[in-house]
Amino acid sequence: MKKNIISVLLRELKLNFNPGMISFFFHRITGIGIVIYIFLHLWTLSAVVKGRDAFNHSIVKWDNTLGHFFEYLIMIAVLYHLLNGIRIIAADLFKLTLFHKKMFWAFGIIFIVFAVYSIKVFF
Amino acid sequence: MEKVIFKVFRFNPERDKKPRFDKYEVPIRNGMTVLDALYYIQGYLDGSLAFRSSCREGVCGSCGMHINGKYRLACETQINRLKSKKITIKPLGHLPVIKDLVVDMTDFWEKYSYIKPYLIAGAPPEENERIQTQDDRNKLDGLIDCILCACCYAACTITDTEKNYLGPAALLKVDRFVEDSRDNNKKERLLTVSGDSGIFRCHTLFNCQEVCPKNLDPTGAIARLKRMAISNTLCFWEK
Ligand code: FES
Repeated sequence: MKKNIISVLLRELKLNFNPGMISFFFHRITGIGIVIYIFLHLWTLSAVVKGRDAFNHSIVKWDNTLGHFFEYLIMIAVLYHLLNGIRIIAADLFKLTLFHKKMFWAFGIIFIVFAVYSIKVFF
Repeated sequence: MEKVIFKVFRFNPERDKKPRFDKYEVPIRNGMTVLDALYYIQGYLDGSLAFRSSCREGVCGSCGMHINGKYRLACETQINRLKSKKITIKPLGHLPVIKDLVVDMTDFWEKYSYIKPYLIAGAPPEENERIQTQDDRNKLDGLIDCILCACCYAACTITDTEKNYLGPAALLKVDRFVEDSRDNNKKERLLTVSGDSGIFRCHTLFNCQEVCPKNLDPTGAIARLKRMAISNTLCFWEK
């Protein structure tokens, strides 16, 4: 039976609802989101080959509330992926596996502070 | 007497098209474990229920199953402590079901034997026995207590997405021998687990650490192996 990554993640999250699995779940989701964003980003920027006006037109399309909302989503996805990535690397390389829950909550607070502050910046 | 509802996973691949959950009402007394309740169901309510157990005291590792949101040993899980009037029991995940709560552990054991879970000293002992200092012995604390219940294997998402992944229990055992001062096969052991299906397949989910009924840290053991493998590759290898 072919497995769909999202349904596997959801099933596993239900079976193992703990900070480690929750952080992994969002790490994967934000990772997929960031990859999709990169292609959209390159597509938007690729207008540059058609000249200055085409590029400006392509960029301006996103300069509205909906565009800012998407930018905000990307920002928090990158922020989450970054912080959780640091947490995992720290756990693996610096013998901190037993402190992963404390790091989860500490990084969670940093995430919330940045995410809330960024609302002011993006809107 | 207080009663608790048990919702138990039932599936007989030879007869049933798909799994179902059967409900049983079990009278409970203080100190009663989930395993006691399963025996009650089997003895008084439904003799066809299949599950594994042996020691009934958290030593043999036979009774690992998913109980109310977490993989645990049924014999070490007191019903009162679950603080719930409804208890849902499912078999270990990522292993094929033979019947009800009994799973086929062939994959788990094959991976376990693949990593050579025994001392490879390389030469006969100088004296009658292989002496170990207290400090060297202390390094094995938290590594030798694994009872191979496979709760970590079932909880690890990677054992599901990558069928060849060795899994936390086998990798913890590798670390146990790599850390053992009497073992003389460190480099080969690390090479065995450094491939695609070994330590670097671990995504550091911490599920194994979370569910281990013996409070071991397989994630930490795998992380230690990762560090050793990295420094070995970078030529900082120490004997
Ligand atoms: S019956 Fe032996 S560990 Fe539970």
